[in-house]
Amino acid sequence: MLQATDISRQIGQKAILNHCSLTLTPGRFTAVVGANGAGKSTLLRIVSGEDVPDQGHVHLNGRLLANHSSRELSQVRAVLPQRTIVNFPFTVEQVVEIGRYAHRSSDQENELIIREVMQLTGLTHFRGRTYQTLSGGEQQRVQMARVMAQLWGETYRGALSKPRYLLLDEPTSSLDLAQQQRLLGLAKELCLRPFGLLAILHDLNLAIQYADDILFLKQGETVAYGTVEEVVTQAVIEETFSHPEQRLAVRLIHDQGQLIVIPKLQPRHNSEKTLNTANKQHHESHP
Amino acid sequence: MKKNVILYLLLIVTSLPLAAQQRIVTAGSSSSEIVCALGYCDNIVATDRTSVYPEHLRGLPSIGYRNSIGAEGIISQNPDLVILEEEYVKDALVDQLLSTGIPTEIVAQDRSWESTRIRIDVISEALDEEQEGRKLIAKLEQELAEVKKLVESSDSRPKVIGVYARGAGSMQVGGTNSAFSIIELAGAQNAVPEIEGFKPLNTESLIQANPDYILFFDSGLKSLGGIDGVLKIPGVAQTTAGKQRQIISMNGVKLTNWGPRLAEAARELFYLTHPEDHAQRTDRPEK
Amino acid sequence: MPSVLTVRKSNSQTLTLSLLAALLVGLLLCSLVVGAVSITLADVLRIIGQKLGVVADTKDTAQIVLLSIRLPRLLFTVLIGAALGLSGAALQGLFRNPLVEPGIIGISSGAAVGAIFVIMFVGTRFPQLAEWAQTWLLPLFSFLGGLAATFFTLRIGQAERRVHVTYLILGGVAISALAAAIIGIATFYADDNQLRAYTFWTLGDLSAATWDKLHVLTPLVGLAIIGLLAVARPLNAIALGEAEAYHSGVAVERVKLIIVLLSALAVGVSVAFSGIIGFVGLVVPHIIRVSFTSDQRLVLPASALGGASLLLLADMLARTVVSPAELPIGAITAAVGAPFFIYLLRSTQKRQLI
Repeated sequence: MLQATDISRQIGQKAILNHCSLTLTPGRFTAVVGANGAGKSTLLRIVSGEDVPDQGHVHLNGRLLANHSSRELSQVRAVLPQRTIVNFPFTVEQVVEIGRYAHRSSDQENELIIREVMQLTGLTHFRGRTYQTLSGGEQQRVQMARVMAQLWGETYRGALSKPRYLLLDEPTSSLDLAQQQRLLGLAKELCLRPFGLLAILHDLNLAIQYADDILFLKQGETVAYGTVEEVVTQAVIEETFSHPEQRLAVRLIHDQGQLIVIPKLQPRHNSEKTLNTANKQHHESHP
Repeated sequence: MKKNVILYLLLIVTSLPLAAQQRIVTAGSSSSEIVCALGYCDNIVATDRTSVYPEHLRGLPSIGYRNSIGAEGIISQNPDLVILEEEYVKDALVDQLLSTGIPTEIVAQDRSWESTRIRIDVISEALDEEQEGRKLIAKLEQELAEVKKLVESSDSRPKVIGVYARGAGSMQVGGTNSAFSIIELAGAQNAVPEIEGFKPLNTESLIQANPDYILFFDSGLKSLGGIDGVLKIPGVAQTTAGKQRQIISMNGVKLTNWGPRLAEAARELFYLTHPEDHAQRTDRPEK
Repeated sequence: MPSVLTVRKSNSQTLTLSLLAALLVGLLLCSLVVGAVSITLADVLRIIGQKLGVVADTKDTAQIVLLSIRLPRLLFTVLIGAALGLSGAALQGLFRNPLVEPGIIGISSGAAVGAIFVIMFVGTRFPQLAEWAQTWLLPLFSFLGGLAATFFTLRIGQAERRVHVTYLILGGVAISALAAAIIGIATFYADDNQLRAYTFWTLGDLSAATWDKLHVLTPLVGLAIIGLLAVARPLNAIALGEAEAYHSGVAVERVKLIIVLLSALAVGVSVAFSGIIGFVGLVVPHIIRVSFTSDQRLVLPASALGGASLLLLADMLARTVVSPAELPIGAITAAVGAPFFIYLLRSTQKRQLI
């Protein structure tokens, strides 16, 4: 298990995270949702080991993250970044191969793994293409293949000796509808390997569709954390995404076994009413 | 007797071509002029860029300028004798030439009559022409004595400031121990004796020094746009020299190299700075 | 099938490096017979024979020129060219941008300041210092100067874990301007000796090569080259971003430190002995990447070989074009490199890399 307990983090005077906890279990997909600036990325960075919390700990398989060597860690934990800018003309194959950095596997093994992950991400025909010539969605897939290659290994040989964790930072932000489904579908499949998955998602519906567990963050505080069935309620959503200037109202509907969230902006008290009235008056006098 | 005559004839005949064949390479205009003054001008096969007198030296292969002069360039000319001016060429060059075993004379570049005398001594000895050397020194001493008489005949000791200019952005004034030390020889005084060597031109110091004459190289004066250009330089118009348009110039090489044309240069400078004596001149300077 | 693919890949890298090495050796042989003094291949073979004791030793001019003047100079050129090419490639990898080069981002200028400091103050104030100390102090302070400049550019060019290459280059402009000011002031107070050294610093000069200096240059540059070649693989990962490299298992801070230290060493020592020679580290890695691959495991060693070759070629031009005079080497590399930089600037602008 990858377990973050009671995480607090301040940057300067500002509290970014306040006593947050999160557990990644292999086989389960955990989504982290919240408004911009809620602290989601910071939490992911702390869970991945890139950042160190001011209070609280992160344990991997019972041991403190810091007690794992960099190599050990990177063999079982990979992070898919939101956006990767590559300034040199690497080929798709070369980018994916970088995922094998921490492994002492032979060239042959690497080759087999690269082929497999490229096939799973639909990149087989892109192998020799230059990374920069790809579209945003295609580049994201290449990065996905890379992080998969990073976590591949004994999975290929059939048995997983150590559980793996894949952390996705807003993986769908530059993808179109079909691409989003494809990527998250793949991620969900990886869960079965089993991987423990964490994804920061800004699309709540996607989160509900794919995640098993969900963490709602608001300004560094946990609003709710639990399974999708338990915690996705109108009250939780409204609290997480509303802020003083703007209240959010949501409707939850069930459709074919799927929960769908329909957001709606709550009308403001006086100013908006005046605007509507003004419009009405305008239309009335100018038909 | 006959045998002796034939022997002497043979000696002369064989030594003549030898003397004609002696290949000399010089680095430094003063040394080049001394070699020529001693009658070995035709033996100079290559020289540096500053050696422009006599004119035909310009047509010789050039070994370069200052510390861009390289050992191989000199060696490629197959010299029998190399004359270098110390502090004009880079130290490594001297070592490299010495290691080849080619006869190399290093002369000092100091600007004083004593130094000129030593240079003539060294070079004439290297050429095996000590007698010619002494004759040259005697001639120069006499010329200098004549200049001294000229100087003593006049009471005025105008203040002269020597400026080394390469365009308006690069102007340096020469104080004591600079290339303009000839000023004293010409019956004038350096307007900035407190400056050591060359220092950038400073408007306030210029006004404070208030020279009677501002002396340039011909090339320097040209680079500033002639006398009119100089008068536009801040500070010049406030000096006596500026007010009376007493901006003078001389051939830079002749003026500063303290070579065989020393007396000639001093005399020319004397007349430039003592125009009242100009009318009594019995000779005309060559430009 | 897979084994053929992987074997082919490492084979092609080895092949490329072998070709580049062959090119270097060829240029080296050419350089031996090119120069103001005429030395033919037959002369070279004869001299080798003389040195091996196989042929009677005549100690003629050709031998002295070849062994005391040309050969040390060529070895200088090879080492410095390799140092500049390799550190350029490494720094580009570190800063993740092809526009980076030790000259452009100010490392060479910083090194020059360090060197001038030693020449101006240590030589005159501490004349009792042993000869060997004076010899080693020069590259030491050059290294420190280059290091200071590198740290400065690191601070300026990185904000919020991103590299802003515009700031890097501007930082380089600032350092170069500062260095020019210091050099200017130094020559102001200096006597004539050091005044003429100004062009040495700003335009470079490989002719001061001696075997003694090679004894210092070789181990220092050799160390830098070996160390930098070792970080090729991590540099590939760093190309994706420092965070991404960390997640992939790279000890990012350690690799950064190694690159900073060794680049400063390579560049610093080169500048101490030959003045500022620019653009080699810009042109060579780019040509390698465009011609072959961006894989640093090839780019780094190829840049070392290519840098040495380029500088040998430039030096040959310097020694022959206005023979018996010589052109300053920095002028030649700039004549090629500056237009190249402009072209690179335009193409990276198009690709929105700046």
